[in-house]
Amino acid sequence: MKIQHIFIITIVITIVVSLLCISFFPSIQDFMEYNTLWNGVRHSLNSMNAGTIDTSQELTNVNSNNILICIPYIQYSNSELDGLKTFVNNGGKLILMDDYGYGNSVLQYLNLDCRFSGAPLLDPLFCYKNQWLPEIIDFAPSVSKGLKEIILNHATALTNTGTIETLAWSSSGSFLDRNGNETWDKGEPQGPLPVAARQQLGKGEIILVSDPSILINSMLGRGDNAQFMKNLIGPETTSVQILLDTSHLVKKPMDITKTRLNLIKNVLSQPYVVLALLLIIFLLTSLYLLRIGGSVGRKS
Amino acid sequence: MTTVKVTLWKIALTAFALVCVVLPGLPVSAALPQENPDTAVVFFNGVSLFQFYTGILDLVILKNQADVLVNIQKTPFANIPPTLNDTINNFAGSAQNICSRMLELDAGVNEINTLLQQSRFDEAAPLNNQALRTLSQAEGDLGTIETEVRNTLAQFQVAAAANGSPITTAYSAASDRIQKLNDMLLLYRTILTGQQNEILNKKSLQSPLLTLNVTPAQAFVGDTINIEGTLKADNNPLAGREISILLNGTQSIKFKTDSQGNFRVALQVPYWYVSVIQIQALYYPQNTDAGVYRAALSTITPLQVLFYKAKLVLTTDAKIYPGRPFVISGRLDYGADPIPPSREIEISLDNVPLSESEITGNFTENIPLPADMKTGKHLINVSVLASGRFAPVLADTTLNVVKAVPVITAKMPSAALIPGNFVINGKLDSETGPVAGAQITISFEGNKITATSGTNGTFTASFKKNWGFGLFGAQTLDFGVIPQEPWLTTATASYKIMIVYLVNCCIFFFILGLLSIVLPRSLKFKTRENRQSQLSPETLLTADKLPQASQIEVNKRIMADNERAIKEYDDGIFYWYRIVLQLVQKISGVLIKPNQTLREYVTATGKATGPAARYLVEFTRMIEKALYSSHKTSDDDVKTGERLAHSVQESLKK
Repeated sequence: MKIQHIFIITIVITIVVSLLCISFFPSIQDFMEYNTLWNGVRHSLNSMNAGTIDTSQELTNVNSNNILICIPYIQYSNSELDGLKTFVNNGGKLILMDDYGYGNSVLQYLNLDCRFSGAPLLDPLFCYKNQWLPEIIDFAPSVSKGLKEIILNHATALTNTGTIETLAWSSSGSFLDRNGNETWDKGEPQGPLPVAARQQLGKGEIILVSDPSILINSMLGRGDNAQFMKNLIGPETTSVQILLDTSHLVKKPMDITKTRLNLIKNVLSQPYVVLALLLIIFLLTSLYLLRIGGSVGRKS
Repeated sequence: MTTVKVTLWKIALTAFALVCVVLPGLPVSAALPQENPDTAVVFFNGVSLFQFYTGILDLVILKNQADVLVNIQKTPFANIPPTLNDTINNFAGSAQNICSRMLELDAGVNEINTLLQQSRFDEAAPLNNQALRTLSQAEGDLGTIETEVRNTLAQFQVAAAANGSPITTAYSAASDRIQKLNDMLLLYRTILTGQQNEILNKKSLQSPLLTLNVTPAQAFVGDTINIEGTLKADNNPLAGREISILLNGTQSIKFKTDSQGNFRVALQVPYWYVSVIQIQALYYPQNTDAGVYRAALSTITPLQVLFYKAKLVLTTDAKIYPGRPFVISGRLDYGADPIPPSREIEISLDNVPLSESEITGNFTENIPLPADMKTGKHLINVSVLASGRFAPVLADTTLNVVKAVPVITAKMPSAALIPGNFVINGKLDSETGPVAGAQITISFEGNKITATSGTNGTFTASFKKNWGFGLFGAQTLDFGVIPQEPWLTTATASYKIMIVYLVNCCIFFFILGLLSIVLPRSLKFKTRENRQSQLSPETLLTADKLPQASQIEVNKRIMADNERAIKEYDDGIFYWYRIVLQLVQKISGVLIKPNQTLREYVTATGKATGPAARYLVEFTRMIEKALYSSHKTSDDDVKTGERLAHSVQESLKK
């Protein structure tokens, strides 16, 4: 066998094995669609029957009938922000979930006064296991159906809520740990602090939640987090699709490759593409046979 | 390289790999937007628990029962050691009890004070006893609170903590609130004991007798009734004393007795639409009577109250739309009672007044609904106000506020050619009529066009597309509607259309046609060419070099190869004759013609083959015999043919 052949076969095997590994190995990155571990959102998306938006182009073309969930861990571009604004103004429901990301730039663009504090919300008493996992037990009547408690995970709180409709508050023992010493100090805001709010905007509405972690696989089933999301999303209808914007999540190279592979898979599953591929395979086979045509029709 | 050097290299590489692995992980660990709740460390915070206790006790001190209740309802969610579950529950229950008991005590103390001021000692005594019992219970509750706070103290080992530490400060604050509550309960005890002593001291005062008679025993609201009675002490009339009439315990009118201690007064029955009013006369000593007489209460006399009642039945539309008026109808059923000429009604939605109007008999109101009304169930209340003998009537019903869904009906050609354009006509309808001014977005393969519906809901859009990847097939056109009216919701619909990509189809079918023509020919040609190349003289004899004497051995080898190759193709003497013919064709340069017999060919090539012609003729005869007679070739024939073939070859070499 020639050295070139060995080289090509090695490359092909490497690529195939790599693709198989990428396909079958779960992502371990936070909020990743393909992550089935505690910090992914695979199971959560399945339970909510939600899809994902992987590209900026899709984001700017979301139909206003849908419900869009954004976790802004990467800065939105102006065109994307404009897309979000149009989406909401045309009647869409935007659920903006953020703790330490770029949610405030979205709020600023939408001319809302409310902000994500960015400081950790700690609750030493009403919490799950420790103060970094605060329990929320105060809800506005509009979202309180079937709710006893929701559990947050390294959350923050909303500030400047003003006239915006607050949907949920932390307990009076909670506080924003601005200096990061994990204890309350004078001057640090104390509970009850708003953690979810809603504002009508144009024909649509924007819902703010100060912790995206309630969506992760290990959190959605805890407390009444799933019911809370259902209450925020509203009544189920067949015409409404829930979409999670994954294009503004921090991704590792494997996640990017998984996303691209998935895109390719989607493209390849189109009937015309399958037809084109068959044609190419037919052509290549024919050419190959033409080249080694001597063996055709021979007796063995 | 020495062993030491190799080891050093290994250590360096391991360290480098570790740095490569650990370094990228560090920023992730630092950010830590979340932690695994399954593996999260459990930590109980005693300071916050004591602060929670203190907060509740502060609310108890303020007698804010509602907030106490709200906080107590949160206790099941507190993150506390399991051993403290009973403790926190007992604390919460006792705090709730003590708060309500203090409120009871406040009310009791005030009522007793009022009664004592009116020398109504007989009424005050049981109230005082009840208040003292309540106080004892409150003291018991406070004892429980104190015990449970101490239990918490033991759990968190506050005693071991240094003075001034957060947990000792928090515990001290809770203890301080317990002390304040203790002081408050002590104050209640002092007041109640004082009231009890006053009641006991005034026990010896004279008790007057007060009688009451009400006629008639039943009356309509607004009618006048007669109230009469007598006030005496030791059978002596008490003249000029003030008598109060209590209607259901509430003071109504006051008047004075005459010189005989009698009283007679006309009283209008209040417009209280209740079946019975309890009437009672009260005398309590004032001025010089104070300290001489005790207060006197007559027996309770019931008055049957008459009024007209009606039933109100409401009906409304099954679906109500935000921003659109809705109709509510009411039917008043008075039964056998008379019907009033007119009534006033008030309509409210979710306890917010909407309208007021005067109605005669049954009614139908057209009420606008706010445009921002949220969809779902809403409560509408209709209140027919009281009017004279007609009691008020209240009724409510549920409004089902919904948004209408636009229905898209689109007409388009069943098939469209690309490149080209196709026109889509459609209409938007809804439960509320045609949808006017709505924005319609039509998406097709990533392209979007928009249109606006006219006043009758119709719209027209033209879709132009020049290029695409497909060939032909049903494609989906996605419609999205964004209406202007607040009572309409957004809507989507999908339609299928057969799309034919003309250029792509032409190219595809051209290629397909081309391949269907070219490939079979090419394959056939190639196959034939290959067969010929297998049997060609070039391959068989390595071309024209065969005759040279120096290459006899080479020829032998080639013959052997050829034999092997051709044996795959044919067997017997024909095999050897075919080889001979090919050799002759090569040597003579004359090909056998289609209409030429073998013998004619051998004769024609006689000159070129020379001495080999003799063997060739002999061999040809054998072949003719095999071909044209019933003679079957035997193994001997094959050996003869082989021999002749070799003879021809040997002769040709010469």
